[in-house]
Amino acid sequence: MTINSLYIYDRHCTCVYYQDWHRTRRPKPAVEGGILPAVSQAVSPPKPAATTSGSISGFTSPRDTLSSGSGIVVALNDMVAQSPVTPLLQTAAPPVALSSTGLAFDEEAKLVYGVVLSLRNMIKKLSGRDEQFVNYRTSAYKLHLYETPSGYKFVMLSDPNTDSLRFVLRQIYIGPFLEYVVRNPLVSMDSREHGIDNEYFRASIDRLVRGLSVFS
Amino acid sequence: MERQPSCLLSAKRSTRRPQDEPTVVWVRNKFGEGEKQRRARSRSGTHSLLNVNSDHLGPATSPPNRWFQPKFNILAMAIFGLWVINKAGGLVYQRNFAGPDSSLSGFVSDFNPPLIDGLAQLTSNEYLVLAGTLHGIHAITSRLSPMGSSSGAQIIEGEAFKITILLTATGTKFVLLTSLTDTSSDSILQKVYEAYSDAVMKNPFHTPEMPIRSEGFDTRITALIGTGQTA
Repeated sequence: MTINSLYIYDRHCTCVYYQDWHRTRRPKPAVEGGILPAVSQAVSPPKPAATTSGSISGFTSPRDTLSSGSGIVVALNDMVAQSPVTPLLQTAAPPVALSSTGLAFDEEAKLVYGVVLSLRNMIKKLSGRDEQFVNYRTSAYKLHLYETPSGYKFVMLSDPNTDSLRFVLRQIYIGPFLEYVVRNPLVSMDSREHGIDNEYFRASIDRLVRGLSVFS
Repeated sequence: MERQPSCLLSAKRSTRRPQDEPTVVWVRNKFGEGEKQRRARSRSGTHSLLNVNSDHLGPATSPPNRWFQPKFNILAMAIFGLWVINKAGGLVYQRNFAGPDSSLSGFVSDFNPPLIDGLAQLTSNEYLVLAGTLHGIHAITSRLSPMGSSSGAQIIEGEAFKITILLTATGTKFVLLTSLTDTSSDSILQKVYEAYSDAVMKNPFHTPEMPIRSEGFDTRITALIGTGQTA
């Protein structure tokens, strides 16, 4: 029993957040331009070292007065290269001996979204009601979906034997998501330009997931 | 806006009037209580909306003004449909039970197909499209595994029904649509596979990968699933 990964999609079909645990087959990093910045550092395209010395933050709003020079920026993770292990996250770097799915992360994220959307439409069509798609199971994993009224889709992959994890996804929504994304003025939701990743959000989800009885 | 496959957007539904169905008992009661009472009464094995006798139910012939739309299926265990999908993704056999086609024979209104239970009545074209979609999804799901190699989707669950998929070694898929609580899907699919081998594959007049038009297979399926009500 374990939990493998979490994807969050916004209503524009784009992946805005990704996190994984215990994943033996990892995707290759996304290609340049394949995913938004601030989705997940683990799968972001590798950056040339020279570009990080320039501007500190990709956010150019005049209200954005925080910079890592003047204080601690914890509210958003952006294109800034950060030290690999941040103090809030206790997670160690992933072990190196992992096989790859052969897919780049951006491709994988699109496939996951495609499957979820098709199944959702199929369930609606078959039932003739406004019935939601809940989960599907294969021999190796189980995929759970929770969709918010605002169109955000929370997708979680877990061990095939787990019960429905919809409540967990809902907890992530009403807990970390509302607290560190919706109420975070530095995260521009629905921007189509940035993901919603930030250190507190990631740490908070990590705590929540690691505290579950199904996580081991 | 979400992108939707354009094939799923063209939902043209036939508009058969419910007056054509004199045998049906219409449910008029409010949602919660009536459902509970009928559940309590329907413990005794096979049950359908047709043999429920209760003062909560309206007269037998007149359809209600308001459609009754339960949030969940009233029938505790039911089989709604069986599909056979060939290895190219074509739907070669499709049959409905327990819902539209068998006993309740498809009430479809023009705004929302408000079946008392079971699934919506779709046109054969829509079933073809859904089967093709399922075929594609099945292939993709085997590639998304986070842990080692994976089969395709085996069980897909909605809030009130589930889709159980049996993939044979030859690539033919047997798909069973049942209520969530149904526990017999796997064994039924195995038996359907047996019936398919016996009544379809051994039939010298059957062309492989083509739609199944075999009375023998139909009979075997009827014997196996009947009206779709499993006790």
